[in-house]
Amino acid sequence: MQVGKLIWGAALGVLLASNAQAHSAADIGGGFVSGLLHPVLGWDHVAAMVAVGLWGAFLGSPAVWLLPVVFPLVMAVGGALGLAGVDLPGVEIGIAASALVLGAMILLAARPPLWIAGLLVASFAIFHGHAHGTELPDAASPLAYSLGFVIATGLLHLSGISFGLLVRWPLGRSAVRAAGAVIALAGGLFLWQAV
Amino acid sequence: MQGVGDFYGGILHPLVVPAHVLSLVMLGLLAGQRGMAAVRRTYLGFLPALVAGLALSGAGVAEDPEPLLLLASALMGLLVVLQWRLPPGLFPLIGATVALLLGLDSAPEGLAPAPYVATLAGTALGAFACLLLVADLSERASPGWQRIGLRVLGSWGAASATLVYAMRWLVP
Repeated sequence: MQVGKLIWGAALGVLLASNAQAHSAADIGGGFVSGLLHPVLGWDHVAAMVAVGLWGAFLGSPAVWLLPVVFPLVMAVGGALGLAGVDLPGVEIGIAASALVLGAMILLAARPPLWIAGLLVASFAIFHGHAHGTELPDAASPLAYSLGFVIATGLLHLSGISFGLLVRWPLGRSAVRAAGAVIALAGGLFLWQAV
Repeated sequence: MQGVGDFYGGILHPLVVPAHVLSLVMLGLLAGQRGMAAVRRTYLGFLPALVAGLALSGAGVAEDPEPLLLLASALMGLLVVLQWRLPPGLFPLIGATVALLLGLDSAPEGLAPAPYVATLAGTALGAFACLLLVADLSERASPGWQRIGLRVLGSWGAASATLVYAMRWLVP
C-alpha cells in the first residue's frame, strides 16, 4: 500500500511539474498524448490490434502473451524501415489485410503452431510499424510519441485478450468467434477501400 | 524546472525527460527480474557512476549522450523480454553505463554555482529513487502473470527506444 501511495505521489509530481530546462514538458505531454491517440483513432489499426489479443487468448498460453510481445518489437523494425525511407509496397493493403486475416483466424478457430502464428503477426506488424514510423519525425517529442503509441497498441492488445478470455465458456467461445467475424468483415471493407 | 525550486526541479528532471525515465525503468526491470542480488550489484555500479556523470556533465565531455541512452534502453528492454540470465558481474557495469550517460545528459543550463549543485543533487536523488522503485517492484513480481507483465513492459520500452534511436540515425 505504501509503495502504491509513493507511485501515485511521484506520478502527481511529474504531472504538476512545469517546464524543464532543456526539454519542454508541453512537447513531451503533447507528443505522448498524440502517440497514445494515434492507434486508437484509426479503425484499421484498432481492428488488427484487438485481433492480435483475441487470437492470442484463443490460442492460450504462451501465445496469449507472446504475440503481444512480438508485435511491438517487430513494429519497431517496420518503423525503422519507414524512417529509413524504404518504400514498402502496399502498406495500407497490408494493414487492412492484417484485420481480415487475423479476424478470419479467430472466426475459423485456427490453431497453427506457435511459430506460424508469431510469424503471421510479425509480418503484419511490419506494415503497422512502417505507417507509424513515417509519421514519427513530425512529432514534437518523438520518444514520448512512440511511447504513447506503443502503450496504446499494448492496451488494445489487452482489450482483445480480456474479451478473448471468454473462450473458457461455450457461449463465450461463440462470442469471440463472432468478434473475429466482425473484425474480418471490417478488414474486408478496409481492404476494398485500400485497393 | 520553474516554480518548484532548483533541488526539486532536479528531482523531477529524470522523470520528465522520456529518454532518462525510460532508461531507468528498463534498468530497474532488468535488475529486478534477476532478484535482489542483481539489484544490489546494479546499485553498486549506478551510484558512483551517477555522481561522476553529473560532476562531469558541465565539462562538455560528451556532446549528446541521449542516442547511447536510447540504445542502452533498447538492449535492456530486449534482455528483459528474453529473460536472459546475465552473469551477475555484468550488473554493476550495466548500472554504471546507464548512470554515467544519464548524468552526462543532465547538465543544468545557465545556473549560478549554488543552484547548479542543488539541481545536480536533486537529479541524483530523483534518478536513484526512480530506479529503486522500479527495481523493487520488479523484484517483488510473483512468478506467472506479474513476471509476464515485466516482459511486456520490456517489449514496449525496447520498441519505443529502437524507433527513436533509428530516427536519430536515419532522419537528417
